[in-house]
Amino acid sequence: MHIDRYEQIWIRISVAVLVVFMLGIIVAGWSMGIQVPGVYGRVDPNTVTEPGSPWAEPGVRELAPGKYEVYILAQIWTFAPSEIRVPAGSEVTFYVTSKDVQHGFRIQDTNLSFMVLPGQISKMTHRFEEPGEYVFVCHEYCGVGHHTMAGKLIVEEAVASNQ
Amino acid sequence: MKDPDTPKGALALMLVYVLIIIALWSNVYFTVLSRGATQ
Amino acid sequence: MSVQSIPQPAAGADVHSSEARFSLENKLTGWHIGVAMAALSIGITLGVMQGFEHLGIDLYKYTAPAFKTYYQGLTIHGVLNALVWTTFFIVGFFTTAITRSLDRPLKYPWINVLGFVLMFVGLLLAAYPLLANLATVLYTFYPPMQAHWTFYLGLTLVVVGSWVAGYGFYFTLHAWRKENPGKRTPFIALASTITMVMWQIATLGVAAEILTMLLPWSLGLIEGTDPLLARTYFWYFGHPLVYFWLLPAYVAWYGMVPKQAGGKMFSDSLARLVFWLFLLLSTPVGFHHQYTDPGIPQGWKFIHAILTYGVAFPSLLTAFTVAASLEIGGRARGGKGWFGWIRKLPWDNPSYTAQNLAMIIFAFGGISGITNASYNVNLAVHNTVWIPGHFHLTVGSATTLTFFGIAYWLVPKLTGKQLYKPKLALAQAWTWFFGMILFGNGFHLLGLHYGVPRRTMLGAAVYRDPAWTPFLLEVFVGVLFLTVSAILFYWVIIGTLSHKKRLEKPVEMPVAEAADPTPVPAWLDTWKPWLYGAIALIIIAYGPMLYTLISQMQLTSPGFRVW
Repeated sequence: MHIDRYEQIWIRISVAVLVVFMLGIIVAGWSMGIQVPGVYGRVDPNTVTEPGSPWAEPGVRELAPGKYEVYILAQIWTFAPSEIRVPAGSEVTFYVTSKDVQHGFRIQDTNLSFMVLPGQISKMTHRFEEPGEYVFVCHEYCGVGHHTMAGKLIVEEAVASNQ
Repeated sequence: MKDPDTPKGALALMLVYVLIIIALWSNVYFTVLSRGATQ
Repeated sequence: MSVQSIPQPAAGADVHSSEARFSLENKLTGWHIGVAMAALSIGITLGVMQGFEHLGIDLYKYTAPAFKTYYQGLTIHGVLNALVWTTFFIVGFFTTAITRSLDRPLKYPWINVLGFVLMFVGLLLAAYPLLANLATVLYTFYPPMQAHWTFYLGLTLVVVGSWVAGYGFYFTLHAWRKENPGKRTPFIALASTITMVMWQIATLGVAAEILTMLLPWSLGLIEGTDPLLARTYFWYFGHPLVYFWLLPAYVAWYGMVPKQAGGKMFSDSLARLVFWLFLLLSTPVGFHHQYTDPGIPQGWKFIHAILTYGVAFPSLLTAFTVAASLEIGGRARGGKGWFGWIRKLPWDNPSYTAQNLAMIIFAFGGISGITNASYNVNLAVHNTVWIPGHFHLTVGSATTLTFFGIAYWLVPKLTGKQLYKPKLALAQAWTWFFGMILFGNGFHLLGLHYGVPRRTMLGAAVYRDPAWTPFLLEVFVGVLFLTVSAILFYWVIIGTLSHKKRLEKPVEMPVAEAADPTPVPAWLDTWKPWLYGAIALIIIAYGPMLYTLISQMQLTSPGFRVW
């Protein structure tokens, strides 16, 4: 099959650009830790709020100084908790599931953006360096109250401590 | 009719296009990098 | 003013009797595109209401008996525009394209009539729950939101009807091949048939989702469902769905528009290769719609990212090959230098202009598409309004504006009437172009920089931010342009249907000749290797995860009506 000389140039350029982009993706993903969610675990959405489940009492737990985990339960049409406080500089890991329909979770101005499915656990981490208020929203249609489903994460000035 | 084997206009357009692709894609890529690690 | 630049019949051909041979095909095409355009008119109206809502102007209280909420409107907007307008127009367009390209009527016309009947009945059936607010689940209908069972059954019939139409096309192509041994399949017929085969393979996913999960669940035969498995079936279908939308535009851009420009197909071989590559690569890429899903491993998501970059390649090839084909025409019309040929293209022909503008918009839609496909880069844009920004440039422009351009020769062809007021048609194309640029730009920026969520009643959102307003205004001005454009489109089409002036000679479908008349190599006219390759790739890319998800399926989610 004859391919025009100029078209061959274009083919080489196209492939090169796609390859370079892919290398950028690999560097960001495997060297800089910017990753998409993977498999973490499953739950039964019908019993996820029963005693013994971390979502029975959703909220922030400190694991170690500067390391926190937050269990968030998404439901029509709120997040529980809808207000989260962490000190500046902390690394926070989110574990989110739904007890009813599919939802979304996104903390504005971060890369924290993922689907929230009943029966599945979504896990993602972020280090909050700057103090401030971060809005988080549901970004998957979940019914007529979808546009009211939001919360805020408040990053507080780190208090000097000698722990 | 001009020999169709020298579509220099098409190639020129594509060179402009690929620069736009690179600029716009890179804009989003660096935005993602600036928002930090997720693991 | 008569329709410009429509190719005249070859000397000696008796065009009138050839039109009589295709009178059933013409009727079938007309029914399909008639339903398509009627559906689009409602879908567009809802889009306009959405534009107002984002500025805080709620028009739904005035439409309450018909459209009660923003979300019901959004569901109908998606179903009518993304599923009905597209599928019906495509099947209708292919009915003409394939039979004229082969110069052979349908082998078993009753099959294609049956296909239309199934599609139409399916549409009516689905219309009931949509209008009765029993299926406000958006066009992706993710469980465990649960619609009334008639919604799922209606959609099934539309899809099955399109399969049946495909079978009618396959029998016709097979008959032509038997009657023309040793001849290469004409490009338009081949590319259209490849598209239908790709669609057949793609729709197996949504068929599995509906028939094995959602329909029995909504009928109460199964108590629960597994949302991740359902999503996975859906997105197996959802990515090739967009190629079902795009490839008919490519059929026109490769096989018809160069003729309208006075040019030729720059490379018949490459055009065919592009379509075979789409058959191969359209489906095994669906996890790029699930990058942020829990329960799917990063490794599989990354493999699909690589395959998605693979399927970006034939589109990049298309940009060059189509531009080169148009350049042949522009230079034949007197264009000189690097870019002089662009001005010499037939910009006075509304069919040409609509399609060329569609190509330009698509260039940008393709860029945001490559961005979406870029694995972790997707995190910046997932489920923000960047996504509808992207797809209004693709299905909303590359596809829809091209279909408008096709209508500007196809409707005169089917009716024997002159195109009504071509200058209005030209204005329609340009207003769509500017409207989509404003709309697209606003939504892309709102999504990327402010994370504004999609599928959301923004005017009433509790987190609404005044920083969004200038961009929402830009989007709104875009919507106003698009509204004017849509009015112009329907004015021209209705005017053509009721036009007093008949054409002296019937319109001929534009068919571009190849610049190089040497027959393409046989491997570009052979189905089995490509088909087997496509199936093999799907088994590799989807087999393991589908096996895992099905064997670990937990039907724990009951249905919810959340509206």
